Amino acid sequence: MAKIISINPITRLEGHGKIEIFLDDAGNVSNAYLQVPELKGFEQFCVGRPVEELARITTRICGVCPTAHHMCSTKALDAVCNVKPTATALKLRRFIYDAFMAEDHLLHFFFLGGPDFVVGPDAPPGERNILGVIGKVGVEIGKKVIDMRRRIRSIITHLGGRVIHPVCGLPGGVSKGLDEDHRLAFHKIAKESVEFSKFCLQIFNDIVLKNDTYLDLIVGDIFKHETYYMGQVDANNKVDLYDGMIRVIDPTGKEYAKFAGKDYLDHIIEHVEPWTYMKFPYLKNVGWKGFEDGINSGVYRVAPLARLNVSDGMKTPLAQAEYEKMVATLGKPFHHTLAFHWARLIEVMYVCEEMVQLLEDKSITNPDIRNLPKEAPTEGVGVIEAPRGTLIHHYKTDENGLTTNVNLIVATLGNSAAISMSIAKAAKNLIKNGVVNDGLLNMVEMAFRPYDPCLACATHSLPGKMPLIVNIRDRNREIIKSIKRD
Amino acid sequence: MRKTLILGLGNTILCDDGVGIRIAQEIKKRCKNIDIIEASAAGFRVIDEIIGYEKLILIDSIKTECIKPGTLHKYSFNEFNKTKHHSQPHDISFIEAFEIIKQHGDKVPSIVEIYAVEVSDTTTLSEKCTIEVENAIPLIAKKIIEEQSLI
Repeated sequence: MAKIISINPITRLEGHGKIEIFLDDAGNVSNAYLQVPELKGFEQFCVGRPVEELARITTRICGVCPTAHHMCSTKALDAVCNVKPTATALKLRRFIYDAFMAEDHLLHFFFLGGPDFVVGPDAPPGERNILGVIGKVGVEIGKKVIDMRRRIRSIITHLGGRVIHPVCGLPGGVSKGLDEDHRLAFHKIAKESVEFSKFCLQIFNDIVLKNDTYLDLIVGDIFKHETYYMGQVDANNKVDLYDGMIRVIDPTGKEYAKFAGKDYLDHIIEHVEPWTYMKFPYLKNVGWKGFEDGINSGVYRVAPLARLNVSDGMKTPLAQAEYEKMVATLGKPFHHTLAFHWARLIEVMYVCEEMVQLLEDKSITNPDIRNLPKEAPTEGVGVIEAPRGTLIHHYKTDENGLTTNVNLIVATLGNSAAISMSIAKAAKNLIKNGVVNDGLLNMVEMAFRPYDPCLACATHSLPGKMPLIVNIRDRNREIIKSIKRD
Repeated sequence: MRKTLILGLGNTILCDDGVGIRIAQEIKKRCKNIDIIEASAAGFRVIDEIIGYEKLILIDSIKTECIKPGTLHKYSFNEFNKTKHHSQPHDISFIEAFEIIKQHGDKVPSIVEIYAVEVSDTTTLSEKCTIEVENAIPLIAKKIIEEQSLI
């Protein structure tokens, strides 16, 4: 009898996302999908508003990466207004963005992904949390993490206007410059952050890479998918989070496409499924073949692992050295989903090194922080690499600068098909002939957490818990078994 | 040490979801000396903002579906300290973050008051709340001001 297993991570009562696992008549997994309570109508909500408001409104889409939306929107506004930011503004934007990426990635590694790895995949559920991480690495290290993130966030607070929803981006520049005192103070923070990045990579090396069980999990088949990858690169094909060209490689590692952000519609198209509002972007010129790996399937992946895959390396020396170590360990392209965590730390090193480089150039304190737009707004596309992947904002306006059309391809969508594939693969290994292995919840969580999926626009939750509930349903959708963790 | 912080949580473009922020703004209009912070975020993304205050008043939305929208709930801090699991895929819970920075040695508020307004619609994109919730905002603001002796 066919069954449906439903894993429902509830934050508020209506839930944040739900995993449906479908069993066949033999009790084995036929497929699995991530369902998300997607909000409809954001584009319509924006229509008719002055286009410059979008840099502030779009930060409300998501409480997780408002800085990415703000910066991407600001870049789209540059294009809409046909104005180039000043050299100093570009340096400041890149600096703010590097700080954001560092603090966001660190939060993920220690507080979200950390419990899976640092505490361990087999650790009791009660220990698989940040307190478990601190218990393993030591209280002093926990304090070090908190202090470092706080210092990095002070950069965004100062230059962004506020840390939670920054407001510094303007078409043609930024609203606030950097003085010499702050340059020196932030340079000290940036140098410390490089040392801290070394320390993070050392933890990853000592706790994960030197542990054969963990390494087997990383390189094993359960968490592996051979897909296309997409990410932004500079003129030398090095990872570039703020600007560049979008590069796509095929599952063998060969360059498949390289294009400017404004041409994204020539390459990306969205597939829809009847069971979810979430869309599934895929490579238009390869085609949608379902939730499948391989060179004939247009499914692609984004975010840290993808960015390292599409690049020829990192722009900064220490990040490059670690990238080379990853290539030597895993081979390239990296198809190992759990290696997202490693790639994320390499990116932390890169942005911290880049912060130092930017601050060693005194010209970042120059007063030319904005070019005023002189043309009527028309149409523009902004692209940025958000922590969770390639983020695209596309706006059109009328002659008065009022928004007539908005299209957003948010970062997590780039991984939406792959997330479902990863969940299905993990579930297939843990559900055999109708018997659900007790490790299902942990392994399914481990399968989707590397992507750090941004599931909904509901951006907060009252203090509470995230129980995981597995409901096994028969053909008539009656619950015949329920596994709950709270 | 600063005295009282009002932390309004929610998303002001998601209908009733923004009611916590709307009430915080309403209180600020009447109590100029109170500090307020608006946040469409949770856990470690906002926790640093509460450091240095003696008292924290947290206002959010809630959907119990047991009572009519616009009704005010009040909770104690301990009612939420039941689990250490993530409250969402991207962050840890506010309570968990609170406990961690407290252990870290930060001066966290010694008094935490939690208010939540019963809501009905948190998925429609709108800068206004539903009529019942919208009408309740000034009344709830007044009640919190009086109950917490903010004037």
